[in-house]
Amino acid sequence: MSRVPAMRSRVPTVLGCVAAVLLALSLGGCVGNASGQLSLPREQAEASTYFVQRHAKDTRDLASGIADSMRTRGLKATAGIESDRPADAAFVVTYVDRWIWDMRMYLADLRIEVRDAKDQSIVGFGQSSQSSLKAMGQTHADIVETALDQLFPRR
Amino acid sequence: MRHELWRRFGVATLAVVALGLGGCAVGNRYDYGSAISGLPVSGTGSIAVDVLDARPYVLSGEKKPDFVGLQRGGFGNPFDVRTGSGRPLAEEMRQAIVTALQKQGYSAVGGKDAAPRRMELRVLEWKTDVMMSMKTLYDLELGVYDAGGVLLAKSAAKGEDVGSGGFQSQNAANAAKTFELRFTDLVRDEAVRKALSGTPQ
Repeated sequence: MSRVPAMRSRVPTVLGCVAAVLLALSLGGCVGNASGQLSLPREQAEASTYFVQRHAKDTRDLASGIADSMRTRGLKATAGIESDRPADAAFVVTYVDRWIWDMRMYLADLRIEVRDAKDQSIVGFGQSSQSSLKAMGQTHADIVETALDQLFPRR
Repeated sequence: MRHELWRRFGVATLAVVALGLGGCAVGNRYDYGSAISGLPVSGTGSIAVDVLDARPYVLSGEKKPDFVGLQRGGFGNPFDVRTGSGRPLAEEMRQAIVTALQKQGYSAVGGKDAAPRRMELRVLEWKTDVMMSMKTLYDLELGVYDAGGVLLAKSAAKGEDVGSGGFQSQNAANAAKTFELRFTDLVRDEAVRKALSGTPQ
């Protein structure tokens, strides 16, 4: 009995399995990501003072959450609106938050930038984004943590 | 019957995956023209700004000057990423630098125009490569010259930054931020700052 017909009959099954694996991989790859870096030397980053500037449309006060997390990383950080910025703040931290509705509001993308207070030149950025599925069981504080990990990784 | 169901499922799923991944990978554009918000130098003089694209694959004609990197499909198959405006990368980078210098008080003129200072950025490499991760390869040289063409200061940066890959808008924003960060670091060099700060009127 020839083996060719038997092999041919298995082709659709193999094709289906390969397709299922590819589908799972492609869906799994798009759930979340994080990027960023800080160009400051570690000693300077740790010794500097930061001001997290709350933007006008932020009704959730993410600025305070970002400053809280920075303090838990051993950094000197305060938060407030632009006029609250202390004179001794060496760096200003700004952020762009993008929220999406999917049966509930979730923080889909957070981009944090660190700039020199004197001239607004960039010294670092951290970004974290997630899909609705990935956001289940997470709070926006988790996304803040992930974005800050790109800038000020915990020791 | 069972095999026929598997076959149909396989064909349908492969089509969906191919469409989905191809849709993410084809026709991506990253804009560098407004990448720089501030620079660690200020002044009021005139600076001639030039950006030279010295990427070997562009000089050889293998890639067009608006090529900025690769977005890979589900099987690692590469698709070219181009500049947001469709203009050469060097022009978009120059636009970003000129806008930033003007914000800092300088007046910027063309690279061939007469000016007390000339800033030249040589782009020996600038390429992003995105699949699950986003890699940015860079090799940049910044030179500041006086009106007579004498080199006053030089800084360089070469390396590879790696982060996660995401959707086009996130990748584009990360690419622009990476350029802003790398170029700002070149300007932050003490000799470069000194040469630019002393720009005569």
